Amino acid sequence: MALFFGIFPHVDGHFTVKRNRKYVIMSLCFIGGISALGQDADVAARLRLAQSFEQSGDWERAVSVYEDLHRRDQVNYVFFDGLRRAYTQVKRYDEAIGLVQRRLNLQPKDPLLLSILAGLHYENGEETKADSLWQAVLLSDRKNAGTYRLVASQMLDHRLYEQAIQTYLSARSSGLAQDIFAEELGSIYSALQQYGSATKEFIRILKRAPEQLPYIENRISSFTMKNDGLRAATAVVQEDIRQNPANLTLRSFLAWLAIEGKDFESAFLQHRAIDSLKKARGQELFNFGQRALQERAYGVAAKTFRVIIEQQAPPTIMPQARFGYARAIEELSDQSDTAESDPVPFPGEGAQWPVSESQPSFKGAVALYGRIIADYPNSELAAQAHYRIGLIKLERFFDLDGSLTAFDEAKKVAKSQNVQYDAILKKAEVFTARGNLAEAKTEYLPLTKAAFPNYRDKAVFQLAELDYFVGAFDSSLARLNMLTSNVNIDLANDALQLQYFIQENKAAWGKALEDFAKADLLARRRKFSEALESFKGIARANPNALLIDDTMMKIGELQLILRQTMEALGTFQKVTSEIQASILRDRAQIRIGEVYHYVLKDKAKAIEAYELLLAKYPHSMYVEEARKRIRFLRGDAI
Amino acid sequence: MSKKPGSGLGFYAEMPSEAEMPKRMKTTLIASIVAITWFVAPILLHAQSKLFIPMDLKQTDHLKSYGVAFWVLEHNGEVDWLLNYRGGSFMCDYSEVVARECRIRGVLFEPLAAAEASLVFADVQRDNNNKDVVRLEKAPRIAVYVPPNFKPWDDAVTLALEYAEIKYTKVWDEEVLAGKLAEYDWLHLHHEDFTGQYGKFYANFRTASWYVEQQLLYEREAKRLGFKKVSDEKKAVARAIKDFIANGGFMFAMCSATDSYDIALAAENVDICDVMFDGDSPDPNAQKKLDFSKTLAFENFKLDMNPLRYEYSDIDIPTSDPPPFRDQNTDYFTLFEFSAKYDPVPTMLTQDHVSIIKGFMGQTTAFRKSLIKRTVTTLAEREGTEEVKYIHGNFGRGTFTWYAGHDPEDYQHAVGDPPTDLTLHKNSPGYRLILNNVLFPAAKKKQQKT
Repeated sequence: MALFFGIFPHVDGHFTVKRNRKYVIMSLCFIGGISALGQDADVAARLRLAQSFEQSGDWERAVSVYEDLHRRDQVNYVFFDGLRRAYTQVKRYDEAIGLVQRRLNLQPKDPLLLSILAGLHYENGEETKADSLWQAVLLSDRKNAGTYRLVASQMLDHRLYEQAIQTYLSARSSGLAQDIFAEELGSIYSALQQYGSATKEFIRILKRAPEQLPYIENRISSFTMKNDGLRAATAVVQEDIRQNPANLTLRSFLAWLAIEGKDFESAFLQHRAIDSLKKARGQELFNFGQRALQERAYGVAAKTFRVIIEQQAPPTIMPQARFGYARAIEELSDQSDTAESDPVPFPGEGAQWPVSESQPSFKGAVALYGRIIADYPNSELAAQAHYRIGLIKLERFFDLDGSLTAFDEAKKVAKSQNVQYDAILKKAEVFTARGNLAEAKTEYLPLTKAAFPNYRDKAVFQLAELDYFVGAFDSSLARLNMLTSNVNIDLANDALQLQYFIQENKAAWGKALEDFAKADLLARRRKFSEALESFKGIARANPNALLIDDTMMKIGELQLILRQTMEALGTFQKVTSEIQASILRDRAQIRIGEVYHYVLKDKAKAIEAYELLLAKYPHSMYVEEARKRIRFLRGDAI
Repeated sequence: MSKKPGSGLGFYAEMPSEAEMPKRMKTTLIASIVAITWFVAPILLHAQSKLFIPMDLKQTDHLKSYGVAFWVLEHNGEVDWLLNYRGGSFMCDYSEVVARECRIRGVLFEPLAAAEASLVFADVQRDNNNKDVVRLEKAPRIAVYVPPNFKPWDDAVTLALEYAEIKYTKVWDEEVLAGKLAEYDWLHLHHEDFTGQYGKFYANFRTASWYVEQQLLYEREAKRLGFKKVSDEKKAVARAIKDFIANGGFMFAMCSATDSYDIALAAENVDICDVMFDGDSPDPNAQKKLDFSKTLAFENFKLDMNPLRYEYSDIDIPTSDPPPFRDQNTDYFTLFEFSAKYDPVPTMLTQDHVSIIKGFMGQTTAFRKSLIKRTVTTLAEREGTEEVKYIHGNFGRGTFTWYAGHDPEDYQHAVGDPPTDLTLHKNSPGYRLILNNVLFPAAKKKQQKT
């Protein structure tokens, strides 16, 4: 105090007591302010220190700093909460409980504090106490959704999932909305793999907000990818639809689940119901039909498009629906065509000479395309219909005139360049099949300048083949060279093969090569018997030619086409046993296996043939395939 | 019962043992042997007597070769493992059935006449070279410890066994705790976490559905098995595995199943898991309370208890969080060479067609050398560094072999990456090391040279 007064010395002794008091009070306030400011700075620094200990995980030191802070200011929530966290971290639960209880004296009914206290009791092994405290919190404000959320979230923090579920559900039985906490429950149920219950919760959301369907589909897809998840969800939605048959959202949901499970038939039923409920006149079904077609569910796609057509869909979708129907019917005919697997195409190759045994079905598709052309003449759809008819006539009926007319029409009507180019390529193929190579060449030539490289390359390759057929080997090689210089293009392998074959035989066996090319053309023209005789003639005349193995392989393949199975086997066997220098022996051997496997269905002989391939040609490119087939045939679980 | 190639059931028929034979039969047998030795043997010398599976660079499919050896053992055959001979080759009696199986599985083999086979044996058993032969007699029973649910990472151990077509049984906590491991010779483990911290994927994947499901599944499983916490259950599993080894079992572990296993053993009586893993905070003095006397391979390691870091401890080197920047083209590790005649087990474990192998990362990429116990044998390391890749040790009557890294043919395999297609890595030296850990319990014990 001396110092205090010292700074206000009596100058002349005339200061009054009152005046003195005024100065004293002012001075006290000033000094007190400075002191408080100093204290605040210290507290702030200590708080930062505690927080940094907390962040670095040094909880023991954090406890001691927080204890100090809390001692200084027991009302401050930040200090209280920091100390509670620190006690909890170091597992001093009793002290944490005491701390919270003291705090409750200040805020006796604070639901957050009570809920935290319950959590501490739980951690301390006092589960009953914890539970009764949580229940007390819930009972204190039964109409407040926030209370349930608070308690459930505390329970989830302690990984008490079943209790959290019960808490959320009790909100519903307390008079709150019946769909309250549906999202939370759905998430917990999905995580607990209770897929049926999860779906029920998500359905609650859908009933409240149908526009949430894409979101719910996204949420539910986390478990519908599993069979049991899909089954459970489907059963729940089906049951709900039984009770709410007019609910469009639920039906869409069920259709989506059906498509997830590739059950297109069920999806169709739902979409048909939706279409009818919405009086959509096929619009709803049309989208589904397109999807089914994309997914190769041709039966369902056909059924869908037929329904659309029968119910007189609006003109905006009718033409596409009719085309979709025709496409589905065409694909179904293709699937039922028994010619497809007999004889088998060579591995990695398509069927070279497809022969249809299902002409009547294809006729159905042709008729459908025909009606599209008649009803929508000169449209892009008509051009595509012409093209499809051309393909069927060429590849299924081998009706060269019919297909040529169709491709011609497609080319004329088409506005899209793709359809035009496709039609030109096919026209040229028909001319080749007719033996009219000059016409074929005329068609291909303009395509060599086409804007799209795939059409350009194809035309160049076909021209090289035409040159080869007529014995113009140099010209053929020049064209092939254009393709083989770029190994990235699709046709490079085919081009290399033909190039190599010509180069290998041209010099020493030119005449034999010419005959071979002619016989090859006969085969391309599907004159199989004549081609077979020609190849046999080449084999007889040139037993020592380099191309003798290629000739024998051609003979074998033609014998297979002409159903001379045993003769084909004999031919392939000759290649393997008699032409020692041939690089086609492994190919002949795998063909033997395939004939036994797919044509004669003799499992034991097929395995034997494949095993022989492994034993005799261990470095063949076919060994992996042979291994796979042996293992398949003997039923290995690989 | 001794076995003889060529007749009877399957391709190895059984004939009565000496004790079971009547005296007259014995005499006939001796006479036959004499006759064969004098008159028939010279002819047979030119017949195919042995089927030799080379394991050097000529082999077309090293991984399936192990499968063929296993298959022969399964069919009551015997296989000689020719240590350090052409990459650790296999040889068994020639049989057309085995030859066919080799062809079907794409395994290169060489039929050897008896004389040629004798030369091979003579070469292998010569005193002045580091080669030896180990006879494998019985197909080992293998258990693989994997959770029943889908895992978004792939497991090199099961990939290798599946590809090699080696039969195994999946076991999980319930089986381990019920003592079922006693039914197996081998226990294989891969990317597991025995600490109860769910692989420490919390920072990056805590909201991913697979992570949430995994945590819930593990928690339910722990409760069902009578444990309050997953970490307690995993520690019990780790102890049961330790008992399995002590009783003569063989443990092979990769990636995080190695260090997390030892950490779980050391932390037997202390909580090292943070609140997001087990609902309460870890013991603040956890590090001090670790008991290294309980571990198998490591000691004095320092825990990484930050739940947001993808790392268990400083055993892993280089640290996984942040992931190291390395040029995979210069990352290699070197296999140690052991004496085949004096140290057959480490020799078997290091059989390979190359001795320098491409490195690969994992949650546990390599083991820090300074933290490995002295009793443990180093089988491979990254030369000139602190990084040890492959270790082996004994505990009780059994052994443990640990191999760091996740996938030998995927340098940095990430969660959700597609599984490695082993048909593209048939000759993987890194994968071979996994399969070396399948056959050695099949080895007939022989007296050690002194």
